[in-house]
Amino acid sequence: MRTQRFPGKGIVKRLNFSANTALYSGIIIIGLLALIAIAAPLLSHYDPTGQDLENTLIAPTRHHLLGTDQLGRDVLTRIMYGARIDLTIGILAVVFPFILGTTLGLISGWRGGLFDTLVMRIVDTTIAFPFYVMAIALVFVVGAGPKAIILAISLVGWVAYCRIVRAAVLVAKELDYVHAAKLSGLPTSRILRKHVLPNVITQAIIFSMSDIVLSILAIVSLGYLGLGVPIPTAEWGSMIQEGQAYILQQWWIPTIPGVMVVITGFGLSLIGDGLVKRLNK
Amino acid sequence: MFTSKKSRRVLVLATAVVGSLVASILPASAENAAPKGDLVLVRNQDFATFNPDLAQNDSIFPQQQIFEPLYMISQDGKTVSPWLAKSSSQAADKLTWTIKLRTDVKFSDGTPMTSADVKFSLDLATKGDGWGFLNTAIDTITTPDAATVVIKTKTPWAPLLSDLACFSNSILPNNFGGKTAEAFYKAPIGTGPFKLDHWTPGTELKMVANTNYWQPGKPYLNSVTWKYVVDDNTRALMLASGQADINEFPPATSVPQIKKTAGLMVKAFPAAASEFIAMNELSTPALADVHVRRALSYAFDRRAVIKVVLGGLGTPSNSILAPNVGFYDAKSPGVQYDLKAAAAELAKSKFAKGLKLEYLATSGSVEDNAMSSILQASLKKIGVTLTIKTQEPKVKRATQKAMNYQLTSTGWTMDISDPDELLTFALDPENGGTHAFYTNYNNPAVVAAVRAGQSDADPVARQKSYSFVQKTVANEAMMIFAYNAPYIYSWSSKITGFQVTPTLSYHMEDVKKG
Repeated sequence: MRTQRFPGKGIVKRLNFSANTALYSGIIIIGLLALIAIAAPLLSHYDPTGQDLENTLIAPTRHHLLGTDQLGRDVLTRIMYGARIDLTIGILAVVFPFILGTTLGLISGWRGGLFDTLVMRIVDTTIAFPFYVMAIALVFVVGAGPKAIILAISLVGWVAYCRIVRAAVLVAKELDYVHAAKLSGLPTSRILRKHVLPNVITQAIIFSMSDIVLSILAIVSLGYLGLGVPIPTAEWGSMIQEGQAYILQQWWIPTIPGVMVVITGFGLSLIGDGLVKRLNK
Repeated sequence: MFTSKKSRRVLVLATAVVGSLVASILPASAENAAPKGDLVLVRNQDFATFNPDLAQNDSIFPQQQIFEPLYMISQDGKTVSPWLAKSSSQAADKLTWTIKLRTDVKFSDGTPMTSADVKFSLDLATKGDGWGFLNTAIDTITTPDAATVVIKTKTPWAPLLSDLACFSNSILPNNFGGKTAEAFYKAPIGTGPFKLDHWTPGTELKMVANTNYWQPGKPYLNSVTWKYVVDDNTRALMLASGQADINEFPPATSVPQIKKTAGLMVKAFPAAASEFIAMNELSTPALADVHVRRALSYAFDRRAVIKVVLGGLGTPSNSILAPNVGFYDAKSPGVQYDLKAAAAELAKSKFAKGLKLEYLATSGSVEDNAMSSILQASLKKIGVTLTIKTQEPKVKRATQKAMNYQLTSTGWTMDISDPDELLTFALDPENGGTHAFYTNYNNPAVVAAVRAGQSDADPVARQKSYSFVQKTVANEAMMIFAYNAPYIYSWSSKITGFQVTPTLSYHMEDVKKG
């Protein structure tokens, strides 16, 4: 009996970039943003937190392409360094819940019974709890910063992956190739890792793309509320918050970080759409 | 000559026409002028209560249009003058004050104000948990007749008339006019220029002219509406579009833009207010070291913060008292920004090799972001690492009061003209009840001088005590005296007569529209 192919093995081939404009465009956008973030020290010689109190709130010039903020810091440099923080935390804040949620969903769906019931009740409780209330409470306990943000998002974010994977496992475990694997005497851990997981993880991967967008939004929102990455670190949310006071005079100071959030979300959404198109085929 | 009947009729008619024309040109007598104009003031504070004892800035300014005190603070903020009182005298025992009341004052329901109302109000204020501390010196209040009140103090108490000028000592009708306190504060009656029309919490508070107001011809306005609009930019747009007449506290950074806009006025009124950075001396051994505190104070670039936060509209602070407070000493030696001096002070301390400190900031505060970031950058140059921790405003206040901080921003706005209110709060750990503004600073010589200033009626002796206090706490850097910011207001050029005192009182009875 043939087992179903492991989609992971042919995943790059199946993506077929040339025929998938959305995916291709999304990867270019996010790739460029990632490049800017990584190469920020090479692209700008300004210190993102370096103050120049003699040159505050200056309009864009040749030396400061997006002008300076209220403390004389180069806005473009802070945008680039802000990408580092927001993209890194955004991705990390999805990796942990992805792993945790997928693992729990896999075991829960496979084993069923009391374990499944217990996990699902925890899922229901977590979903019922308002995200920002939990995030803000955690920030108070852990202290503002990347750790608190990642912890807050992880504590809430895993439930979506858990439900997605569990639902797929409930279907998959009744399929022939799983029965065949069981009959052939493979250990459960191998069946789950080699046969079930590759077939149920697709939806979780697709969801993770939109989840990164939500994570970045959460990071920016917490930054806007002054509860994110501590000042003076360059971060888009705190840049919007700090620049808000100058919106009628220097509109670009709070607007450009906002546009960066939109572009990032757009790029990740395109990747998500492209993945749906390809991986669901 | 006009001799015929027809001619006489023409003469009468012509006289009537000329008479009415002259009447329309000449200003109407003050007594006869009816209030006109509806003023809308937009603010980012929502009115909370009519109870003076519970009032904070969100409620104090509107309350002052309905309730009035016996004495009123002067426009320069340094003295007080009789308002509902006519005069006062202090007996030779320095404990007995006899206050004569005006006899022409009526509450907005037409009832005359008498000494019974004053006694009731001051006794009520003294019992108050909120602002009752201002009246702790009052022993007894008696009313020999309807127009006389005698106040006896427990000890000689120089700030008494200043205390009586505080909003918390406003005069209410005796026994709440026969109502319960709860019912009264829902439909308050006062002697002020306006009376309540309606209050929609979270939206607006509207008051209309009190036709029984004791100052003839005032108020000029028919109504004043206080609208709650949180966003700075929305308030600015409301003013520019004519939906509002006065914008309370527009951001200082928007002042240049307002100045360029036709039909708008903007003014920075001097304020009896100070911004500080408090240092908790018991939080870490470093902050108990006077040299470290002086180093931090030297390292704070006040002018840079004023430029960033206030668009230059402010002055570096050199004293615990603001320049608009009585007995302020311009020669107070509060240190100013000097990084070399900061490094030298740090070298004299036990922490010359470096130091790590934490600054507790209010999340989302433009002022705190700038203050902490600028201080952090300066301190880095002298080997002090400052980390910035942010907390939501209410949590931050609780953390400060629990004294779980090392450095934090704080501020003070005077409620009376006399410096005693702040100096007792900030420097007398026993009587101030705040561990010296939550800093744990304690200098017995300073405490003695603050108490001497309370009891001495001689202004020269008081100045000597208060100058000593200002000099000592500046030299010992009990806090970083940051800056004195003005109160900024913008308003339509149709509005005249709008003034703000340094203790933040509005005299809306003097405001005209159109």
